Amino acid sequence: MTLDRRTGWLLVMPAALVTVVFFVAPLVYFLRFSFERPSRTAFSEPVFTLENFARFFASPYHVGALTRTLLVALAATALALLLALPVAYLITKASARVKAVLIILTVFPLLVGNVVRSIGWVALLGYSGVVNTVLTAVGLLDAPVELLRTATTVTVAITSVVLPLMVLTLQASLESVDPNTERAALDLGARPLRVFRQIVLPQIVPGIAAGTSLVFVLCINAYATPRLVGGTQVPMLAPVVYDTISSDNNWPFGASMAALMLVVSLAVVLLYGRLLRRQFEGWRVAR
Amino acid sequence: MVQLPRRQFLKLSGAAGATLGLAACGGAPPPNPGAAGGGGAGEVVVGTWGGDYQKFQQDFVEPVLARTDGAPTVVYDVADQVARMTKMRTQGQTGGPGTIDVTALSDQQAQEMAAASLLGKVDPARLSNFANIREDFRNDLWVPHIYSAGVIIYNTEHVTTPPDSYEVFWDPAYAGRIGIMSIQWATEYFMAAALEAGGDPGNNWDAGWQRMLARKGTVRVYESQEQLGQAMMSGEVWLAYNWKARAYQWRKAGAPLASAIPREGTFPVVFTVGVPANAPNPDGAYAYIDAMLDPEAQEQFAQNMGYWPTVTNVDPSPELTAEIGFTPEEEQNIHRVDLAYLAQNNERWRQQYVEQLINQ
Repeated sequence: MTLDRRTGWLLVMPAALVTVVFFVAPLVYFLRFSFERPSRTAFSEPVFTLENFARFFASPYHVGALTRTLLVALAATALALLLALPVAYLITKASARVKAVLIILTVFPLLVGNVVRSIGWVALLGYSGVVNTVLTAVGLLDAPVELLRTATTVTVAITSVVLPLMVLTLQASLESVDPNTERAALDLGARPLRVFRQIVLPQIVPGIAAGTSLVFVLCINAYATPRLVGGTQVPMLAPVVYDTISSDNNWPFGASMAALMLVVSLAVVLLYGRLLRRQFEGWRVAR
Repeated sequence: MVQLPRRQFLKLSGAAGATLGLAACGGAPPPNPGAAGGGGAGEVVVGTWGGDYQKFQQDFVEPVLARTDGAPTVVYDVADQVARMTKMRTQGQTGGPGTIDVTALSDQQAQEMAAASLLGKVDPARLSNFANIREDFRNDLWVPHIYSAGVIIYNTEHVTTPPDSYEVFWDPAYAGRIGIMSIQWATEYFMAAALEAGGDPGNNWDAGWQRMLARKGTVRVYESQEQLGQAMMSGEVWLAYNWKARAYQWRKAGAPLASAIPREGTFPVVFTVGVPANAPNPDGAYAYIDAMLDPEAQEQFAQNMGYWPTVTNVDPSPELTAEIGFTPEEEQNIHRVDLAYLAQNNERWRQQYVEQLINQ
């Protein structure tokens, strides 16, 4: 059964209305501050200016925060992809019962909030945390070392947050791969690794594109993990935006950073999607 | 499956639509029944920090409040002070009634909110305990609740010579063992400026900035009092500049810590309460604040939290006085600061501090 055009629009309307009223309108209302001047007594002084953007690009600290945010997001996305692929593949190949257990195990971390998981990292890697205590006790360290408050730790912690989402997206994509294509390749003498690389991987490119885009955007906007694991010493954009608005009461500058985050996220995702689609089409045509 | 009759479905969706519409238009909340009541009956919303502070409010303020005629029901709006200030600013912008009746802030933050006309003027006639407030803390912007002052807190096992000067925070021997907080830039600015000025820095805290920068890489940074406390108690850091009340709390937890007032002088911190200009139940707010000033509640806060009372009709024990109080000579060395000056420079200092000192 297919819906006619009018019914289709009618079905979409409620969701579209809710999105416009509760998401687009507040967002536009907030982003307009980015073109205004800060005020000590109100949200902003309503004059049109580009000063906030100029200030951002003139500040090494803020440009550094943007660069760090992008690098951490890229690294966390790549790491999540690398770790999620074998897990998703394993889930796909498992029997129905094992598959259910594996999916529950994958989803389980999502049931615990970001903040709780970040505090777990702090307990694990803190000065008197598990890792430092064990390494000092066995003599590998003379004294506890600083494991928190580094970009590497923040990257690993963010990866752990987004990993389940990547696994589930890839698993959904892998389920749609026809097992006969793999069997055929194996019958023709290809080794399993080559089958995965040349037969399975190209078929799940759309899944990889969806998973990595989703995860990348989540990483760019990460707040709780960089705040708790990295602290002020690993400044990333979302916490910097929050501090600018809440501590400094500087809504225009905060809004300009939020606008930049939005633009950068959209640009990266669109460019990446286009690039990957071209690669995918190239692969299909070549075969 | 339950079948919803068409008429009922339409009625329900109509109601849902109306609710959504009202929410989107920012429909005014129903009037608070307490607003009209002389004793503030109904509900009083107290914007406060969570944790111990809120617990002590429940344990020590509410019983006093309950003894007053027509005592309101207390509801706590728990958040850190930064979030509370943002909420007050946002609600102030709408021009309608707010949701907070009593707001707890530090004196510096209360000054900022008062400067933005977000706090109503204090009416002494509505507080039976107002006359007991220390004279030097009385003003019409906010009501002082608890008080302490900055001291050098040190680990007695590692810092064996009791420090009596801020110079200890610049001593290379303690590099990497000094804790500072990302949220408490004012204290660090004061120290450096006091050193530069040889005492009270007055209104030139910027004079210490180059000294501050010299500490880059020698300090460990924490995001909250709790994190710094944990670091002091575990021996991760040995020195910090913080309120004497914190030294008391951490020492009570068993840490080998002591505190000293530096010879260059220090400055006080007063945690305050105020009534937002758009408070829906100001009567309830005044009733609650009056209970906070009650000597019974004040003494309990001193004993349990380590902050000195802001009223004069409390007489803590000599032991407690030694732990959390200040001698007349020490009081002489606690300089009042110009809160308007702090509020004016707050944003610039925070950025400078975070961007150039903390950021590695």
